[in-house]
Amino acid sequence: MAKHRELASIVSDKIWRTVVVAGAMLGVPAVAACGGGSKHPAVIAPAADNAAEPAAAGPEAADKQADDEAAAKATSDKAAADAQAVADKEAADKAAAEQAAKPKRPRGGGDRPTGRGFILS
Amino acid sequence: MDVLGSIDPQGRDDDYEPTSPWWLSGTPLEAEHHRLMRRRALPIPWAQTTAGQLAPAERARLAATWMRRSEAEYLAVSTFSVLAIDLVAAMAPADVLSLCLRAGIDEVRHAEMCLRMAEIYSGERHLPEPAMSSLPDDPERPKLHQALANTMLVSCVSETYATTVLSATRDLTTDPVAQAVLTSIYSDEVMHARLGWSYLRHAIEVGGAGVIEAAAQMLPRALRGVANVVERERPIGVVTPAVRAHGLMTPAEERVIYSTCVREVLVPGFAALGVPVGTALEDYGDAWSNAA
Repeated sequence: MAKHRELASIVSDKIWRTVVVAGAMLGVPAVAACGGGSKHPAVIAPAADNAAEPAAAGPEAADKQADDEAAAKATSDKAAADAQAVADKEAADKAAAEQAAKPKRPRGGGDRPTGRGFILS
Repeated sequence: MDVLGSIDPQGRDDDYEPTSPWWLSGTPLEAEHHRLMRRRALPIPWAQTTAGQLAPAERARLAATWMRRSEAEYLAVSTFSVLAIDLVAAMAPADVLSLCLRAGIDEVRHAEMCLRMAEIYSGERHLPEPAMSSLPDDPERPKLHQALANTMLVSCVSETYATTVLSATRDLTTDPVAQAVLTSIYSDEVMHARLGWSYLRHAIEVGGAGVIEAAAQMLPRALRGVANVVERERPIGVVTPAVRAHGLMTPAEERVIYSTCVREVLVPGFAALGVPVGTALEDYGDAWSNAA
């Protein structure tokens, strides 16, 4: 058995180097190892709203402003409707997700976790 | 039937032969199956088996163990499939996903090889018993933690231990067929194990302290899960020197391998990544190792 323990240590040393050190990149700084955040796609910030143009003077300008306001209100109403639709969809999706989460994924029924291992003997 | 007849000659490999063709569907899917199996196949000198030199009891012992191995490998197909679901849910990187799914294909090949080994020793053809993965499932926990925990169980602990025990027994195996089969399986398991350690590292970097805590919680369950396999009862029959030459160890020797793996591979690996290891060294130290 002493010889077997020696073999176990020799093999363990090999697996330590070829599996754990190589797989987890031990000894390599974290950011350099996995590309850190640099390889991840940058988060694109939503574009800022265009600044309101300065109001023009005169009746034509007033009419245009009224038209713009009406258009803006229509846009706002549509946006509100869209937002409501999005909220409704999110609520529906959430309910569907909760419903989907109830049945378990296909897995075995045992309470006793069994490792994969390799059946040796 | 020439099962390779319709395969593009570009990928044909003269060393490849169908492993357990009687297990296949008898449909055109077989050609693509052979394409997948051939992609990473090591040549197995099936005709060089020395099984004929064994006593009937020795062949029966070997057939029973190789049959159990085929069942374990077949079960592992579902294990990696379920793990892939967890990894997809956690939005794991593409390379992690592809290697996990490929691991499932590797396990199909392993199951085929083990079935053929069982057939060599018994002269009989049996299918593996049906079984499904029993990976823990907790819908309440964050997806990343779920994926990480099961990757630890399947890959970091189970597959890493598998590479250790396969490497050790392969070094003691002299039958050319058994040696080649164990080598083929070992070469795949190395990558299956690395997958876990790489994903653990990745998850810690993107998930921070919460991931460390989830890993620490999973570690004792993962170690116990493999210990359950090591402690399981064995088929009836003595492991004679001749049987050992065909790729078997005794349960006592297997405990030594696992205990050494915990102490010299698993615990240092988790500790190096900052995962608390609790009482792992005490749980699987000399007292456990000598209990068989």
